[in-house]
Amino acid sequence: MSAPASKPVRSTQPRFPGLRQFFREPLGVFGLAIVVILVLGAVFAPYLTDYAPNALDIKSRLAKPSSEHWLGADHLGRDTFTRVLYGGRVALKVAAWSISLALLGGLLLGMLAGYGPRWLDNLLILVFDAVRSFPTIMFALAIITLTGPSINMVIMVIVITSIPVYARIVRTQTMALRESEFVLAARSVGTGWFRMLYLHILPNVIGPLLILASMDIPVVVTIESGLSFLGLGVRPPTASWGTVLADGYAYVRNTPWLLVAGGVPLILTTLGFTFMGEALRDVFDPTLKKRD
Amino acid sequence: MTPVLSIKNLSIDFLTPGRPVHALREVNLSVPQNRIVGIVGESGSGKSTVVSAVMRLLANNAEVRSGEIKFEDRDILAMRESELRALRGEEIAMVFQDPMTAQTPVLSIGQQMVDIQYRRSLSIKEKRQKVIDMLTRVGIPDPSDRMDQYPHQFSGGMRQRISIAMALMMNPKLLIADEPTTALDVTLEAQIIHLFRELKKSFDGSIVVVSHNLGLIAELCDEVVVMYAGEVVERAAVDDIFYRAVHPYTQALLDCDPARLDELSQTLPTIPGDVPDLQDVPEGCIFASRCDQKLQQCASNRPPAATITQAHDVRCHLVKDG
Repeated sequence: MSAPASKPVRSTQPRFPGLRQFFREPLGVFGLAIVVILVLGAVFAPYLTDYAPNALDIKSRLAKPSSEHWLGADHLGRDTFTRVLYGGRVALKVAAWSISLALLGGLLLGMLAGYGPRWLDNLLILVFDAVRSFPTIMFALAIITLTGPSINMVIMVIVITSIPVYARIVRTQTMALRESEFVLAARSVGTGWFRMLYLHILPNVIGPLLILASMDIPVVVTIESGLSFLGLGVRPPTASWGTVLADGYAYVRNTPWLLVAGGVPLILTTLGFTFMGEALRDVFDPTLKKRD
Repeated sequence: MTPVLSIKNLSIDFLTPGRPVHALREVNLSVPQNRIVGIVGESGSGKSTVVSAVMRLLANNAEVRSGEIKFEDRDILAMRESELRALRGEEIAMVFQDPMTAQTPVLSIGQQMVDIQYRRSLSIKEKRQKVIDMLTRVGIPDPSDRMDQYPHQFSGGMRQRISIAMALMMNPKLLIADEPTTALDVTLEAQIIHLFRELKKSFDGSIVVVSHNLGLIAELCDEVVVMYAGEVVERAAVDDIFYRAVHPYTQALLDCDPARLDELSQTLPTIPGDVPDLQDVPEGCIFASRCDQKLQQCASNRPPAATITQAHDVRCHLVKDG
């Protein structure tokens, strides 16, 4: 074995191979585009429209879509396009907070249950099953009826009911990985439990979990809209896709665009995040990578 | 010189829903410094259990009944988890049987090998250089480029080389190879054997090779331990085992080696009978039920370990001590 003169450390791999891979999936890019538009619309809402979301204008009550009111106006004369943009803020805020908190909690508890001692696993599984036995909507209705409608309550309820879902997946994966030979091999070179979890277990479970999270965002958005529709999410004057729908459905015969304005963003959100999630899955699984 | 590793009277049970399985019974062996010791035996003879016990990586239902495992002068069985972590990798490292599952699939091999050095206070650049040196040593072409690839981008033989490189990364005093070629095909096997022989020259430490491949053992090892059904039946220098085997089991095992068949014989010799049930270990010699040179006392008296020459021990009534 003659050692060739070692060359300087250099890599032929592109700097972000995953990114390049992602942009090769047309549906993924399409999904990402939708997501980006939704996010930009929510973030820059005040600059994209001249109206305030709650400004009443009785003159343009139930106005048809026009150059003035792109998506018409509701029964109080509020500009629907503006309300949809501001509604996106609520939806994405709820989605971002609840999904990231649920992910974090699910990862921690799941890895703990999967890698920790047996009694802890049993205890956590018991808790997970107890929480999961409530249907999310029922649980949300019960809690919110008790505490009064608020966004934070919605987020909390979603986090509590989603953690067991994520945690169970993480736990199962962790248990499978824990028996795998590479974990044994890592132990045989003296890897401790903390390094084991974040270096060998975490990267192997995070991929499927992120995809699941990405696909869960529309579910969360729908729950928020649903609760707001029922008057249990945001307080009525605040714009949300749910309140846009609720305000529109009473006038559906005369002004169907109000319902469309509230429903289409929900559909787009579902499509966008699902396509993105599927493309992400391909990127996160290195064995699915196409060769260059 | 004190041996690097010495195992005395090691007995291990596996607890099963029924009765415990007495997987190892009074196993004695020692690994001298800078020597290669081979452990041979058929499947289920306890080869892997011995080396797992040395690493303290036994399955959860394993119970050490008696005995001691000493690494230099430290008792491995008495070590706390933190001491074990310091031992593993730094002083004893292991190569596993199946290279296809021995690396984390989602990290590049360079990342994994840099991480193995986490106890060293070196810059990332120095660590990467060490990885490149080690990969060069085990014969990975273009190591500076290939270290950024993922395990699935390597072939089986390459991955076994990488496993060996990972085990040698911290320069351990004892390398344990648990059936390092079993999962590989014949040509790759020859390459890995060749690699071990090369490493033998440059590696400053002892190696334990577990295998049921007698050819590999003959090529590599200085000393051989023959195990049968959880007992060491014979141990000797490699030439003594292959040319002057005393125990009937060792003789039968050697006769069954396909490589020894002459071309005309059509049937592969086998040892008649079955391995005894280790939940219910028979009295007397463990090999008695299958032995073709059985004496009367074999079924009732367990033969003691008799020393023939200085480094040749046998457990058999055919041999008288001294």
